[in-house]
Amino acid sequence: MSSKQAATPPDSPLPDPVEKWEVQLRKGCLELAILGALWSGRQYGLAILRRLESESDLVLSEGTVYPLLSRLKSDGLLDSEWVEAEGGHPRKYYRLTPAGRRRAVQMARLWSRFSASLGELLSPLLKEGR
Amino acid sequence: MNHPVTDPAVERYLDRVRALLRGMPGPEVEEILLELRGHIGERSESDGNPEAALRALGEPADLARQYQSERAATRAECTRSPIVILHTLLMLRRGRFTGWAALALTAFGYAWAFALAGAAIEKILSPGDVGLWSRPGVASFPRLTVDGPGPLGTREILGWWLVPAGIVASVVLFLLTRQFALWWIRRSRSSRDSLPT
Repeated sequence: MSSKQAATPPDSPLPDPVEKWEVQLRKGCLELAILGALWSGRQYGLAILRRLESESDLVLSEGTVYPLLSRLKSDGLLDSEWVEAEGGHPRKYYRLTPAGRRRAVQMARLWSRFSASLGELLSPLLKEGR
Repeated sequence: MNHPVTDPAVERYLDRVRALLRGMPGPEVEEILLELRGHIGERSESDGNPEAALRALGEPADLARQYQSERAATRAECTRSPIVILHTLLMLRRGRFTGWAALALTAFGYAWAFALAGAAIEKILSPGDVGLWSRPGVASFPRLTVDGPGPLGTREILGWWLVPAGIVASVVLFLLTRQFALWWIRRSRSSRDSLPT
């Protein structure tokens, strides 16, 4: 659980189907989140994990990020290069390819449009549900 | 590259991952291990406890399975080989009923695609033994035979048309089966991206 998830009040646990739905929703956003984390420049696996943890509600399990990065690379959305860091730990940096940048923009636009329209639909419900 | 992490537990973990990644090209495996080694080293710098980093990475078997599945799924997207596609579905099923059902349906689709192509070829080689037979005046499914005339009281309804019809049906079924399998593989891939639960 992320720290943000853990912040949910213990006296109001999410019902099981809603929790499952939330997990699926988060899974569906992972690819976009990783592409978004790499938008401003190259990053390596651990830095991507930390960025997602600090700037979003998406916290990947550490063993998942590398196979996922490997998949995005084999899909042609990422490139990688090895860099020897100061501490001597080899870092594999990933960056968006032109195809990756195009994909990120397409997905971000879709996400933005979808969440805006859904937000409009749900706003009365949220007001009344308080 | 330097390898500052030489903790025995880390070495055991990486050896286990290496063993579980058998079948993947050597350079690819070494690159994966180097990346994991860097991750473990850097993550354990703060607390000097590589075992916490190993726990966070998860079981070597789970990690290796994710790499193997990703690789198999990528290969399946680029191939028309039923064997590669069936192998990928076998890897992605993860004990779920729906995974087994997708595998069975795909195998069934391919089996029928090959059977129809075989029947079309057999019709050319042994025209009298192959045919689609129907009982006149009775509403029932026609019966395909490849080893002799149909049951008594039936008559062949396609004749030589069985050859082009069999080939077209075989190709269509082959392509539909592949599309179904790839749809399942993509769906399976995206639902496997895991978050801590």
